[in-house]
Amino acid sequence: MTYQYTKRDLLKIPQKYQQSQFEGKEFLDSYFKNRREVIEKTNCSDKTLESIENELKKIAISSKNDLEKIFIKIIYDKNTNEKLSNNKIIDIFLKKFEIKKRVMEEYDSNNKEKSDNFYYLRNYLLISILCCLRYRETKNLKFLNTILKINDTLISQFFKINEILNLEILSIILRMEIDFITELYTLKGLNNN
Amino acid sequence: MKLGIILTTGNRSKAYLQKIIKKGIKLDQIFFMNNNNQEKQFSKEAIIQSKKNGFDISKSVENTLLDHKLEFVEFSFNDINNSELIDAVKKSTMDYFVFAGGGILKQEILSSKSKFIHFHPGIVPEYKGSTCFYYSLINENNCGVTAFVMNEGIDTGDIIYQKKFQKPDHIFIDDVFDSHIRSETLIDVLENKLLLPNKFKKQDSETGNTYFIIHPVLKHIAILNCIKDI
Repeated sequence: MTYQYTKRDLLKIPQKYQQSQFEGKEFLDSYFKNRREVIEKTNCSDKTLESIENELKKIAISSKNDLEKIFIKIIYDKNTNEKLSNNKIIDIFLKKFEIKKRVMEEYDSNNKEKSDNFYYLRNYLLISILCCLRYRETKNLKFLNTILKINDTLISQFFKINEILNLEILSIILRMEIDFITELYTLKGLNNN
Repeated sequence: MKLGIILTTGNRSKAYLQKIIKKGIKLDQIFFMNNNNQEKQFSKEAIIQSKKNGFDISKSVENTLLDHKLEFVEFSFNDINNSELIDAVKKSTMDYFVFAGGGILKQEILSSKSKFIHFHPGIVPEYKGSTCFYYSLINENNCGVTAFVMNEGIDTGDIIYQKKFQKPDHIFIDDVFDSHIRSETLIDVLENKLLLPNKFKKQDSETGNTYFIIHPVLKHIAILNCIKDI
């Protein structure tokens, strides 16, 4: 069985995931295989969020994209007083992605679309990191659900990801996602079947 | 109190209608949105499971209506906001309509005199949004249904009644289990005469979680979790 949810260009033709069929445990095997193959192709499996911190922070300083700056700031923000408003931003962009299955390159200060380019992949990568961090903190499945969908979308764009940093982020979020799914699978006692 | 129902050709409508008939509950008005889509074919196992759950998923809504000689008004579309249906609802004298699908109700239909009751497969406010039963089955090994009066928000209306269900022991969650738990809750509300506005509970629309359509990976974990012991 081949994992089918990364086959086509999901930004061109978004995947709605409605009424997906149950295909047994083999489906999960095909999912793990899909992810592991992509991680291997990135050739970045030693990278962590900590090891790319400096590089992302440099981008946050030099970037002209305010959204990118905000996302990076939230990822590395240790100031707990700002957590609540940060969480609102994550929720807002989670919802935007879930409804359109696309995120635009830029938004204004009221989070309204300021661009019609939805092929700016860095935004998807950063939102996926934010959802990973929120899932790790809360274990709320709505974040894991969005991680899986954003990562499907990113894998469907794999041939367009040329920057090393973006490949490194992809490798990190896919490894985090696999860990979350494995943890959940084990927690539900499914690894014995 | 006058009670109507707005049916579609879907599984939920099949379960609602068949169980209402079995229980001998009287409907004062039936609207049927029949867009003449070809009936989905179900496996023998899914049909057997639906019968175990008190309805026959292979029997069309139209045939059930005709077999029981029920009067109904038929519409050739499946859109709860269609102007033709809105006109009919506005002319209706029903206090409540049971909603069985057909889209998200917009302001125009919501502004009619009749109220709409939705049976949402999630215990709100914790489980609002789409495919909530899967999230609940993973988190809590059970799931629930909330009956509420619909408003413009997503699953934020006044709560009529909530009921919890054990996890199913089969894989037909979308086609059978979803319709089964909603219809069981509907029957509870109607048999126990729970449509009493002064007993409805207001929701705080800001609390809880809103979920989106479940990803197939999580769906598989939810279903495998249901059948792991059989």
